[in-house]
Amino acid sequence: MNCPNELTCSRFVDNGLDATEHQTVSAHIRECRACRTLVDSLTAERKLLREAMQTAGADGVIPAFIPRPTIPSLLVWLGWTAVALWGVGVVWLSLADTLTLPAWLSWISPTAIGTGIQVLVSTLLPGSTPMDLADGLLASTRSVVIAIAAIAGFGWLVRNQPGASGTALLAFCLLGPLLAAAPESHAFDLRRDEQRVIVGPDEVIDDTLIVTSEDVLIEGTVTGDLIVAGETIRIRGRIDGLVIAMGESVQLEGTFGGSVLGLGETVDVRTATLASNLFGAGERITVQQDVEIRGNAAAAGEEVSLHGAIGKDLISAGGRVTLLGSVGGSMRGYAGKVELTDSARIAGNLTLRVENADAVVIDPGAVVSGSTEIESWPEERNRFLTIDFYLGKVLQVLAAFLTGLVLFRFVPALADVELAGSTEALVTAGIGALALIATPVLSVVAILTLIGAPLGIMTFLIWLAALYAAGIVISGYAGRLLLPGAEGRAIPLLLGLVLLVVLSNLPFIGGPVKLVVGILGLGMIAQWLQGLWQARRV
Amino acid sequence: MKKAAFDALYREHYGRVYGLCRRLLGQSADAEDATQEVFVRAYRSFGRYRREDPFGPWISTIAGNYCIDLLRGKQRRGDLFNEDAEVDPASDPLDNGAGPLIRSQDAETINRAVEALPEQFRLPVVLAYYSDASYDQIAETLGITRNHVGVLLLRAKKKLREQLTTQSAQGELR
Repeated sequence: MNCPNELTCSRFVDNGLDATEHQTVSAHIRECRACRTLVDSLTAERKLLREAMQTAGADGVIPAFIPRPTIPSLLVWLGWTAVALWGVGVVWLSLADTLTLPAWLSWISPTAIGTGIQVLVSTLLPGSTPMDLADGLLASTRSVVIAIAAIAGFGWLVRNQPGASGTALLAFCLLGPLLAAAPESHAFDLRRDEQRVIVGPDEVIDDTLIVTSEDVLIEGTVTGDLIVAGETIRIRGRIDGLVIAMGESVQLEGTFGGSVLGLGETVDVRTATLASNLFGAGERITVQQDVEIRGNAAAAGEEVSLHGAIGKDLISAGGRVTLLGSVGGSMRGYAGKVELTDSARIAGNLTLRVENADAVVIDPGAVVSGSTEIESWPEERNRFLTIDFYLGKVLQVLAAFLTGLVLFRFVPALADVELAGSTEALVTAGIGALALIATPVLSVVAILTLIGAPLGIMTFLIWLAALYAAGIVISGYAGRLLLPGAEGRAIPLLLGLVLLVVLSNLPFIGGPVKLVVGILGLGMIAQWLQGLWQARRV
Repeated sequence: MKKAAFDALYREHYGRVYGLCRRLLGQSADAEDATQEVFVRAYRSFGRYRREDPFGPWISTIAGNYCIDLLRGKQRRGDLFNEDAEVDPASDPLDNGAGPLIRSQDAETINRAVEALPEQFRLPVVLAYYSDASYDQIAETLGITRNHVGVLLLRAKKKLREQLTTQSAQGELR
C-alpha cells in the first residue's frame, strides 16, 4: 500500500480504525521506516497528552451528596398510584352490577369512597348540603388527581421513554382523563332535529341528554345532566343533574336536582323547584311566585324580577332589579335601579351598589333583617388610596416570591433562562404570543366538543399556571439583569417581582407591561420545554 | 441501602467526574454544580446501572451527555459541530505531513493549552485522552461520525502543537 496519511496514522494510534484498516496499517509500518517513525512519535505524543491530562484531579474537598427528592419523581409515584386506583375503580364500576361483595369487603367498592367523603364533609361542615358538596369534591378530587397523573406520566415519558412504549403511555395518559370525566353511565343521549325535539312525559332518560333544535320541550325525566340549545326551550319534567339551557326563550317549570344555568333573551322560571342553584343571564330574567330555589341565585339581565323563595344568597346585576319574594341569605345587587316591594323579605344583609341613592326604592312593607348598605358606584374610592390595595400587593409579591423560590429550586433551568440577542428575543416573543393566544383558543374549542372538555379545561388550567410562572421567570431574569453580581436567586427575584407589580399597576402602561411579560415569559418557558424535549438523553 | 452504596461510589468517583466536567465545560459554567447534577441524575437512574459493569465509564457517559447538553443549551441556534461536518481527508489541509510534535512539556502547560482550545476541539480531546472514551463513544456523545472524530482529534493536536511551540519559542527568547 501507499504510505498512510497523518490522519490515518493518528486514528491508528488512537485505536480509531476498523479492524481491517488497522491490520493494513500495522502491516505497512513493519515495512516502512518513515511511517514507523511517524507512528512512534504520534504514540509518544498521545502518551504525553494523556498523562498530562490525567494528572490534575479534583481540587479541594468533596461536597456532601444530597440526593434531593425531585418533584417529578414524587409526581410520578403519585400519578401512577392515582392511575392504578382509577383503573381499578373503572373496572369495578363496570362489574358492580354483576358482582356483589361480602359485607366485610364492601369498603373497597369505589362508591364507598364517595360515601366516606360525604360523611367527612357533613361532619366538618355542619349545615352544608352534603350530597352536592361531596359529589363536587369527589369529582374535582378525581379530576385533579387524574390531571396530575397525566402530567406526571407525560413528564416521565419525555424524560425516560422515547419510542414505542412511550407512545402507548402517552396515549393512555391522554385517554385517562377523557374517560375519567365521562359521566358515570359512560354514555350520553344526543338528539338533534331542525324543527322540534319533544321528550314526552312518560319518557325516562338514564343518561346525560344533549338536545339541539329550534323548538325543545322536555316533559319526561332525565337522570343525568341536560344540555339544551334552541330557540324556544321549555323544560317541565324532572332533571336530576345539571341543566344548561341556551336559547331565545327559556322556560323552566320542572323539578331540578342540580344547578340550573339558563341563558336566553328571556329566562322565565315558573312553578319550579330547584334543589340547588340558579344562574340566569339574559335580557329579561323572571322568577315567578311559586318557585323554590334551595341554593343560591345569581341573575344578570336588563330587567330582573324575582318573586319566588330563594333559600340562600342572591346576587343580581342589571338595569333594573325588582325583588318581590324572599331571600334566605343576603342580597347583593349591582344595578341601575333596585326595587324591593312590600312582599320582599331578606333574612340576611342587603348590599346595593347603584347609580345613585334615588335609584333604590324600598317599600315600607319590605323586611331586611340584617344591615342595609347602599353605595353609589361612580364614587368608588380611588384604589390607590386604600390600605387593602397595598396589603394585597405585598401579599401578591410574597406569594409569587415563595412560588418562585420553589419553582427555581426544582426547575433551576427556569432561573437561568435568558435572551441572548434581539433575534432570539423576537423568536421568543413569537412563540410566547402564539402560546398566549392559541392555548386558550384551543382549550375553548376542545371544551366545546364536550368529549374533549376535560382535556380542554386541563390545558386551560395549565396555561393559567404557565402564565403565572411566566411573570416569575421574567422577574427573575429582570432581577438578574439589574443585579448582575448578586449571590443566589432570591434577591434578584424579589427585586424583579416588586418591579413587575409596581409597573403592572401603573395607569396606562400597566396593561401593556402585563402583555409583554406574559408573551416573553411564556415564550421562555416554551423554549425551555423545547430544550428539555431535545435533551431527552440521560 | 441504595444511598450507602451510591455514597461510596460518589466519594470514589467525584474527582474524576469533577475533572471531566471542568475540562468539558471550560470557563463556561460552574463545574461543581454540573458534577452535583451529574450525580443526582446518576442516583435517579441508579436502578438501571448493572453492578457488574465498572461505574467509571457509566458515570462518565452521563457526565459527557449532560455537559454537552449544557453547552448546546448555551448556543441553541448553532450546533457545536455544524461547521465542515464531513471532511474529505484527501483535500484536508491537515494532511501535509506531521509538524513538530508536542514534546515534553510540563502537565500544567499542556492542560492550559487544552483548556484554551475552541470548544469543538476541546470536547473530543477531553473525551479521548481524559475519559479514555473510544471513537464510537465520542461519536455518539457528540452526535458526529467516527471519521469526524478522527479529524477533530488530529486538528486539535495540530492546534496544541502550534500553541505549545510558540509558547516554548517565546520562553526561549526570554
